[in-house]
Amino acid sequence: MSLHQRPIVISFSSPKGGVGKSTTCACLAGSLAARGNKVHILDTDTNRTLADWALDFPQDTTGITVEAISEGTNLLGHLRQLCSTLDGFIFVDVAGAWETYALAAASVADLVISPAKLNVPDLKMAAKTRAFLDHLGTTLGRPITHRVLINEVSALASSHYQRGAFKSLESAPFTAFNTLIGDRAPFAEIFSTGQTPHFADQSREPVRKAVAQLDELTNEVLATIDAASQDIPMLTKVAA
Amino acid sequence: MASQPPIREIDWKKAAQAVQDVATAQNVPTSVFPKPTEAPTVPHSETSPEGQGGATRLPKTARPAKQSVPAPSPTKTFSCVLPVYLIEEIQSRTFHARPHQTTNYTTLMAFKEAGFHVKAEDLVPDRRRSRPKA
Repeated sequence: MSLHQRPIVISFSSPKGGVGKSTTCACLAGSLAARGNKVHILDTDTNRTLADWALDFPQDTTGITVEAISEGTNLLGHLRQLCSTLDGFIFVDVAGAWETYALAAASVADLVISPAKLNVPDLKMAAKTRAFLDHLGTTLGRPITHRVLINEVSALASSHYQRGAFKSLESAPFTAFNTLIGDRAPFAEIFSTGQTPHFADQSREPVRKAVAQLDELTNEVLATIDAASQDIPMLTKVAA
Repeated sequence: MASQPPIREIDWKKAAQAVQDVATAQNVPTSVFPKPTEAPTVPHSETSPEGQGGATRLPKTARPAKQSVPAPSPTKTFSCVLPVYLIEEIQSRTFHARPHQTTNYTTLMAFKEAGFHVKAEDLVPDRRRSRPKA
């Protein structure tokens, strides 16, 4: 049996804008890069958030490469080519709208992450994403691994409000990561300093806290992909 | 490099077919990127400084008038014992009414709807977001 080796593909998807797709994508890429992995980000968003970030701070994105996908690109064809030539991780940051790039990325992704804040519109969109991916999964003949990432959780928000929000998550039609990402300055700072929390000044307490949350998230992401792959035949181990 | 979890093989042909089928069934649009645009050119009269290559001058406008907003009434904490189910309903309504609304607002609205006098300036969904910046 030949050893099959390809990068892990993670798509960041939600039909709603402003939920934290690009920020999560960059921060998680930074976390994996800090562990010695290579991360190639495909920016399919028309806003070019991450492509511009990489252009603005080329020296601060060690281990991370960002490629802007232009209109009319055959994304699946391009991903196929990248999967045969790269190792590590491929992240696909899609626009905040349902379009074919989001579908294409989800159809081959090992994990689809939908960031959402603790509010009804974001959580509704996360539920819609789940329903959409269920349809795609049925057509594909295999389930699509999908997790919602609750982010920008405020330490200052009323505990009553947060308790109410978390209670509604228990009956939500999607699965959320256990890790919650807080509303911390180091996450937003990546677009002003170029540095993801793992490459920022860790003598700062907020940075250390952001790194701890991202480490927890990274472990959960890898465990989720690992658990999902146990159910799928034709598995081969990637050399460490 | 950190060890990676096991991964499945991708069936690219099946993926492409599924994307096409779902896109057609759900009328999913293809990505359309905005084209870069140039600022519209405005014709100037030949005698104006702009028409002779001078710097563009914007018309002077008066400063916007300051609007006086009534200050919120003084507040103080008032505690009372409520059944747990009522507390949970207040929390639930706060969450579902709209994002960034406080339990305080939900409770004040309930008082107002019950006929209590509550001034309009005190009915702020989330006072933390309406504080004047320092």
